[in-house]
Amino acid sequence: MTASPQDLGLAEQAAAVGAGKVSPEELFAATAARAAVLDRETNAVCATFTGTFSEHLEQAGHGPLFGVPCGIKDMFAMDWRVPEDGTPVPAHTVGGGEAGAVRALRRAGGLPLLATNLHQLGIGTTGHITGRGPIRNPWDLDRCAGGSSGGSAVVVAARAVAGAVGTDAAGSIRIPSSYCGIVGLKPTWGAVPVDGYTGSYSTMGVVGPMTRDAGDCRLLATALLGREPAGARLDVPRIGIPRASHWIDVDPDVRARCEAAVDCFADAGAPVEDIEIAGSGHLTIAAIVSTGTERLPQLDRHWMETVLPHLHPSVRGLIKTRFELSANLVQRVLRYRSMLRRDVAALFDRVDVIAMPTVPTPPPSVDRPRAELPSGVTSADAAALHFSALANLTGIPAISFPCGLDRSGLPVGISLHARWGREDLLLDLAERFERLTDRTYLPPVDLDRRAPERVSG
Amino acid sequence: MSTGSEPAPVEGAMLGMEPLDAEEAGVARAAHTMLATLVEDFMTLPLADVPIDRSCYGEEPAS
Repeated sequence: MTASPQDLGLAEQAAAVGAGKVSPEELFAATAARAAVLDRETNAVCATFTGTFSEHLEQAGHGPLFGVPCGIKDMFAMDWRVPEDGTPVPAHTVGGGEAGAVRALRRAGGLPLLATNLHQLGIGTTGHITGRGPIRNPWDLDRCAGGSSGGSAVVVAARAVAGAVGTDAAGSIRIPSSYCGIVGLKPTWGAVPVDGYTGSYSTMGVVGPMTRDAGDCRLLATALLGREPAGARLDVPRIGIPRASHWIDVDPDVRARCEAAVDCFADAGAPVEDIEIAGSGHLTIAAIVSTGTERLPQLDRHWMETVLPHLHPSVRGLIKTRFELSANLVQRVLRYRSMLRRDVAALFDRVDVIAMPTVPTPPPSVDRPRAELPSGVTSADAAALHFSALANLTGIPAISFPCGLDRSGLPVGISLHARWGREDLLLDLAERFERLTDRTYLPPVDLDRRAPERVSG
Repeated sequence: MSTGSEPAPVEGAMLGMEPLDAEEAGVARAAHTMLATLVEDFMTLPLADVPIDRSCYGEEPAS
């Protein structure tokens, strides 16, 4: 074994448990110790399981993840935790019992024992506004980890766990995955159960895996989907590049790393062609209107009295603003989504995947989360949504995986989008990229070295 | 907490939402400014004849 079993990947941890090299109890103890240290630095963890571990383990299925602790975004009902949705208040709207995604994970043997922090109510791409302090990036603690699934990204990147569950209604898996240098898959809409998830009302939101490499992402995706992602194998995928809309107004380092990733596939024989996504200039407003208004029917008088007053002022302001969006605007967005879905379906007759940077900039600073683009400085949220929203507005799957580091040594991620139901193709290509480049990305943290001084402090 | 300087949105007020306080109003103004530009552009997109997509978001759209 290595110094800490958390340094192993998801499949390796499961294999070590299966071979008797480490017990689930030892794994969980190591997870809890690292999570405690990590949380002091990053605010990534909302809660760690404190019940009777043996009882929890007894209820786990003897599947491919048996005995392996995982993180899960604090938006899911569990038998040991009522989620708080990034607020200081438990979200009782999810009802009793255990969320579908939690059941799926436990059937596969996984142990959801860390509830991870998120941008408040999941309505931000930075993760710097939460119920318990900004989620800090393990690559640079002054940078945002991303959102809204920032805590899940951090616990994976910094090796408290090897896999975590996130949700993605407007990039919330892919954006923090890119900022933290891990692999994140947004499955096809509806592919993973959403009962017991605080965002279950959404036509944008899905549940998905976040891991350190693509093979582990496939393993966790298989658990969440309840089946192995499968489809016709493509040895030579056709890659579409929406150059005008998603490759020009991008940080030069981010663009260079992503272009190199596409070149890597092209050198291996993949045809690459420029494409145009009709109406791509409206992705951001459509995402804001969709995510912003779908939540409103959830907000009843009880919520106004018990939750709203406890939210960050900026989140309260945004919520109140969203009540003023017009019915005309909401209906226009529905038609826009119809148009976009048809256009994207037609594009997938020409290309197999659509590639673009996951986000146009490196992770923004916690103190002033802005995106510095060639065209000027803008909101980090607006900049990121322009890139992430395509998958949510249309329902198609997308994956983000690391493809290099920028001039400051911060991770850069590239995203691939595929036709509905083709998670298998995205995972294949992410695995192929890892084989072609033979490189993994880990943040420069040494939690085991930090542990004594932090604990004694 | 509330300054009462900015009214709550009508539907929000019906649900018991307080008027916007100073911090909330600042965020709301910034959001309005950003949305105004995006919405103005979005309103130029011709959508009147786009057929409504009646398929599930997890599937390909019906033609």
